[in-house]
Amino acid sequence: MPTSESTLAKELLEAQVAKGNLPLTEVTSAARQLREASEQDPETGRLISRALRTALTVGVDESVAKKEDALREFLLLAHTFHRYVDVWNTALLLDSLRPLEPSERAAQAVSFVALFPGTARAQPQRLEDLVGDISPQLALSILTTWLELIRSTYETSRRIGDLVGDLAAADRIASKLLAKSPDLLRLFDRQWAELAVLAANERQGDGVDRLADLDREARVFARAAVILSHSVDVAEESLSVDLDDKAEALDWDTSLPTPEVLKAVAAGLEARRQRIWVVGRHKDAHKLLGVAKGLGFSAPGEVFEFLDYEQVKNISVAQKLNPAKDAGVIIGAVPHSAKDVGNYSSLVTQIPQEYGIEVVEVRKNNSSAGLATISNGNFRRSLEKLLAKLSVSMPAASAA
Amino acid sequence: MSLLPLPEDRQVSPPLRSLVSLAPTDRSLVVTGGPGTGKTLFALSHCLKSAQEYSESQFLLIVSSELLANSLEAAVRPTGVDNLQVFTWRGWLTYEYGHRGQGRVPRKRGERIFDWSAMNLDWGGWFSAPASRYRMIAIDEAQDVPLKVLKQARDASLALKLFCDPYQRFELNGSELEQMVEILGVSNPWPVYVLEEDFRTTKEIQAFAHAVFAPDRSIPIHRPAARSGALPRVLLTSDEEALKSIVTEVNRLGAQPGIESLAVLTTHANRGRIQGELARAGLDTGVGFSPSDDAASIRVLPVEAVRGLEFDAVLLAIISTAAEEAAALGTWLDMYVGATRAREMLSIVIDRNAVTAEIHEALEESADLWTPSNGKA
Repeated sequence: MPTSESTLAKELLEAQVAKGNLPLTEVTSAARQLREASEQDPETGRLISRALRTALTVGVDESVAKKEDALREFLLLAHTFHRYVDVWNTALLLDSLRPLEPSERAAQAVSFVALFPGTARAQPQRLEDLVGDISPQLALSILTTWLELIRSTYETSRRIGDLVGDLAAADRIASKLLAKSPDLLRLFDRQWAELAVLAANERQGDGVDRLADLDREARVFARAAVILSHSVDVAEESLSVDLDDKAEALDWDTSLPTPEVLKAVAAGLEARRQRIWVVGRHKDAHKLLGVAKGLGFSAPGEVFEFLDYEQVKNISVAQKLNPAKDAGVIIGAVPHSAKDVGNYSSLVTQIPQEYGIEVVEVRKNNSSAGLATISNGNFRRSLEKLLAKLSVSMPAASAA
Repeated sequence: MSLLPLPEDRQVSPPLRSLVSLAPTDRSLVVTGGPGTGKTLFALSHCLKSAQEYSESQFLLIVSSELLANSLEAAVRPTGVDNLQVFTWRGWLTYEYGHRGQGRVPRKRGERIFDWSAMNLDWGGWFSAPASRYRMIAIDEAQDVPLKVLKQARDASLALKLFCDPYQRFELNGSELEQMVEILGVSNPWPVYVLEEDFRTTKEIQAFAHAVFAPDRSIPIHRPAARSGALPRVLLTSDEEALKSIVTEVNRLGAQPGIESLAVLTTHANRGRIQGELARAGLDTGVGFSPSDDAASIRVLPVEAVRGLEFDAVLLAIISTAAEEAAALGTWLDMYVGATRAREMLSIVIDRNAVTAEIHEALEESADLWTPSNGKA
């Protein structure tokens, strides 16, 4: 559109807003002309919205029924300009006159998730009630807009718990609205999983204060892993988070003692100069010691002993253990040919039975897929698990 | 000074005017919105319009404070409308209880706390006859009204209109948005109207209040206030200097063109100290909650009692020497409400030792949103 026309349309709107008496047809026509300009300039968008609302107000003393067409026009334009409040209020008024059409219900649903994110998270079925029977394409447009809103809200609030809750709610609704359209569901899944990966990345290195949400998070992250593992065009290296590791948390017991109790157990181990073995393939030992420090060990280098994947091939783990000195073993991926041991499962049963030493396995996921490489994240959880087990045999720590 | 002018006295924003006109009298609904979006004004306008239209029916408006109830009653009286009552929810229960011949409302632990158990014994005979005695009950700040009171209001009326701001829930026994919708019994479409545009305050005051006192409000879809004005002014001071700073700032604000009403908002315990200091400086202040005090141009008010009110200029006095009061100052939501009462100008006098590190940090992070008067912390 030529600049002069755009300027003219804008001037027209400004004059009409100042006058406060606007014919709706003129305003909607000017608004359409300015649509492109409004995407570049928020002030223009605001002016259009104000003009539309002023126009709608004209003659409000007349019967609402006479305003049906104007309300519909206003609703759809407000949706175009992302004026969620206007869409929402107008949809309620229009709904009192006649049942909403699918496109109007879709606009209303988008406004619902924008304006009431907490309710959409806690009661996602309300969205389903609002949407009713609509085409899968419209459903997909609602769901993808919801994901965009979830992302932008998280970028401002940085509340990971809300982000995960939103993702769980969106997933639940998508599975219902797109149940009969597997192709569209896959499109949604891709976008959803990318957001879940963002959440998983943000979670890395977090403290133990997140345990309350862990089960729900684990399910979200695990599902993201499944989706992305089936997605051929997402480069594996682009994921800076070990999703198998996150999925492993599905098997996690959330009824851990408090962080204070875990710290007391750690302090007790150090005071008694006890050791914890870390057996199998693991990431940088220094980083793992840093994780241990975060859980309350003041000198973790004196507590933790490492036996890596190659060493286990030639060294008998059992022979290295000293029941008087060793408190626990965290065991990750070990070779099938580990010395003196038929396979890792026999090692896991052998150590507690013969030596009375606690063992925690670091599994790949919630299946029998085997043991995982020990990373920062799964090491922290495994160590928390081990300390929790030890807290039972250390009454003083439990009382802390 | 008029604490809350009636609708015809002021410019009401188009969406608000639409909703007031279009919202049906006999339909129960919820209206949500942030500070300055016109919830109280909408409630009052809607009640007045409906009371005039159905002069044979009774209407009830429930508001958050005695101060506001008195003020609105004084505003309603000249209109000649005599079928609209204005109460706080506690005042309403007291009125109804006495009206039914039950005598004084049972209370415990002093004067304010109702003894719900004792009241429940009488509850059946109290509200059951006549049901729906009001054609409409409108409740402002409904998020702070206990659910059991909302249920009684629903049963006592043909239509219940709830005005709320879920972000500003102060009372632990208040109600959540979803609970309000549930008691209305209208599940689909979700009967919640939204007021969005803050037409009371300025962009600058709104942005400051969000950033420092209510970061949850800073979500992307929120629309900024329409008007622009001066940046809020922050005075970081010591306890010894705080009272003098307040007097200086009150004098400065009062001398600004266009400032006709000015409120010093603080905690209850600080009111006496501040009023005394202002009186010693020769400044006239209103002391009570009755509308006759409006004659004074400067009001010293407890910050928790000012919802629904507005002033040209607000001075937030966040000062305290008592440790327990410093702890009470942790309720920053009160300060958020206080800051957003200002139409044109906002100043904050802060005793730097009385506030938490969290607030110091928020002030530092939002340094571009305020003007220091004596150097930043």
